[in-house]
Amino acid sequence: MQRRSLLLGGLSLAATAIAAPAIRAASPVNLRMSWWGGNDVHRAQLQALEAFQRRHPHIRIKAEYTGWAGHLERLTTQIAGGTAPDVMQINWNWLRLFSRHGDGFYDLNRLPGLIDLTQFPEDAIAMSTVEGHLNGLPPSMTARLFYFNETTFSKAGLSVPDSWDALLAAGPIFRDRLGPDYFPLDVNFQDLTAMLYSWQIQRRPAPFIDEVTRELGPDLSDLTAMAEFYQQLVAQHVIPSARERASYGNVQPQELRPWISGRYAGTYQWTSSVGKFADTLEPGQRLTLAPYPMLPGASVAGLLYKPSMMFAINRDTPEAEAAALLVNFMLNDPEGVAILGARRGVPASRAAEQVLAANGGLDPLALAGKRQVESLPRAIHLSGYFEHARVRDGFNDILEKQGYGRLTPEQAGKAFNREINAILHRVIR
Amino acid sequence: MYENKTTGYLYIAPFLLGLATFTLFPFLSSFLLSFSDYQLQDPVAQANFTGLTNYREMAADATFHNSLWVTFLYVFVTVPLKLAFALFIAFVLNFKLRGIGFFRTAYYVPSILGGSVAIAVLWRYVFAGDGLINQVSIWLGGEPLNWLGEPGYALFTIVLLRLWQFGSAMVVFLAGLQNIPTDLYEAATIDGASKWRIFFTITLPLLTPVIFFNFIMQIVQAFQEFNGPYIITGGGPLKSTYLLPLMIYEEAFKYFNVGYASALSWALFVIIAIFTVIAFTSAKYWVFYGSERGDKK
Repeated sequence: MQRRSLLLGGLSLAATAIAAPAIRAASPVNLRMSWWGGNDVHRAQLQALEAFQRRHPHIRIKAEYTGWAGHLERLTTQIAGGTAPDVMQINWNWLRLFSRHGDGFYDLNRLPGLIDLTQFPEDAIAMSTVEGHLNGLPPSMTARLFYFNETTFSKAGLSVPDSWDALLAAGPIFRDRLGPDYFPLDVNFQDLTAMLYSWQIQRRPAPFIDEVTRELGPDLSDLTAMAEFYQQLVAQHVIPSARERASYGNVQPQELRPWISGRYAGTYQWTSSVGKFADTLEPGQRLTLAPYPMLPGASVAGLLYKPSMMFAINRDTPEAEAAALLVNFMLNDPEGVAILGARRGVPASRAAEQVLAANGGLDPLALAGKRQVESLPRAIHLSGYFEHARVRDGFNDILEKQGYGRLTPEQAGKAFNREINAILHRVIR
Repeated sequence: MYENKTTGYLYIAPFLLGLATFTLFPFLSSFLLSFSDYQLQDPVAQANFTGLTNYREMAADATFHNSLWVTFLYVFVTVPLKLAFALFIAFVLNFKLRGIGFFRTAYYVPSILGGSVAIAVLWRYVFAGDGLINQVSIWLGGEPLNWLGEPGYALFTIVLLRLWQFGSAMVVFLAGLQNIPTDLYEAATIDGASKWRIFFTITLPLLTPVIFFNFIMQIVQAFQEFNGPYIITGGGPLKSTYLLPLMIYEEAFKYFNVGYASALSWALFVIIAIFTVIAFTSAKYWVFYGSERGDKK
């Protein structure tokens, strides 16, 4: 208890020292902050803003919050119209949209002493930096990992897979022991693309997208191998076929009845999103983190690892210092962090993680995910263009055609090579 | 007199302001933007004039060609089916039966619910692989169908969602049916005309103005269908339900390619306009107004 009090006291002192300039400057300041999220995030965020305003009575904050749907469209219109809020929650891949050369958001390096950057891991800072400009800071980092329904695997007499081979072997066992409606893993085309990315990087550790040549890193034989691996996953009954998957319509994977009931027994999911997959499972089912599968001799995991989201400051705001205080309050300050909790994932800030660890605010599944990510070799950085909507849809369309038998794996490989490279030439400017 | 005019203008000012702001301005802006490479995330000032590039791109865009084909298929299947169904129900509800008021109201309910997001979500669950339709089919001894996963069936489920909203067309048909003078039916019955003969030689010709009105309304609405494919199938599988409005939306708000999306919007506008002109031009050959019969003084 004493240790916890000391820790919180120390962090409070540090936060107060950082906040000092604003306390001295007491002229009234009006800020706007926007974010997206569910009701739980909204409630916590509003409480955090109230706490911040209590501490800085001269700063008034207007909250602008929505659900996910339509948020990007709204923010895009605001940015284009010059009416963007002072502080915004953004997605990491939006940096490619709004700040191709790093000048789309306020450079946080220009606000020394107001935000404690030392609390953030190097890769978090690196991935938030565009051409030397620190465009934002992430509340948490996220990566795609394998999570399995331990209850269903037990029913099949298996432990959760710890290698690609074990995953492939689980498919026929599921079919034979549980029935044709049971699959060890469920992936939509977006998840599948991400999984194939990881598998490919393990085979050949090189950047998947070369932003200089504006082309895919893997060559034609690699891309064909990826398509063949997809074919194998379906043939081995590891994942549902494209037709079966589409029979549920345009529905979120965690809302699929087979997921809820445990018939689809695995997901390749972001650590920041896995909570909602665990939440929709029927009572009595248990979701667990699996060891990350590695190909024999692989030197990197090929993780899709990135900031889950970011807090950025409007480049044109006249109140950058107050905005920076708010960002620091949410990311590093013990009071702000305690209020916000781990609703946006396990904090990237070390100080914030300590606060939540001390008050028991970390979900074990999410924390286990973070620890696994930290332990895996991840020398290859993800290109933001991999998450570009057009690139993503390009992969989805080709995989869908293959899934419906309109393309052979060889043709799909060629289509990746031709069509995705054409898209990359178009979007990387 | 002058003061009266001013008052009148003041009364319609809010409407005119709304029309100018929310219809005319976007309408003209989209036309100008269709000749540019405007990206939503950039300031408009950064947009370049690109002439007919977007329209040329459209001519070579396989996704657009597919979307156009799917849209035509959807419209040509939906509109005749919906009109026929609405007319049939209106015809039945035109009989003087006990409790007919209840049935008229009941059949209009789907139109009130419409193709809203909630109904589209319900549709998705009803037609899912393990949804209600397949469960009933299995219960009756039939085979389940992959309604949403087979390209051939997926569009059909979207068509059904539009058909379910037949109420407004039905109400217009019902009003039209009730306006047909009963003396014509009495005369035909005395002359020994069969029910079918009466329907095809009296009811249908006198209903043609209403059919024409419903046809125009339905064709415009069908070309603009968005909720169904967006929510139920997301345009899939294999883009078999990727209607043009959905493509326009994705170009503008997913890919931020507003210049191209504007060009697509104008293509859709021109297509709807062509169909409307064809309908109006052909009307003189098949729409029969009472005044042409000489009974209007």
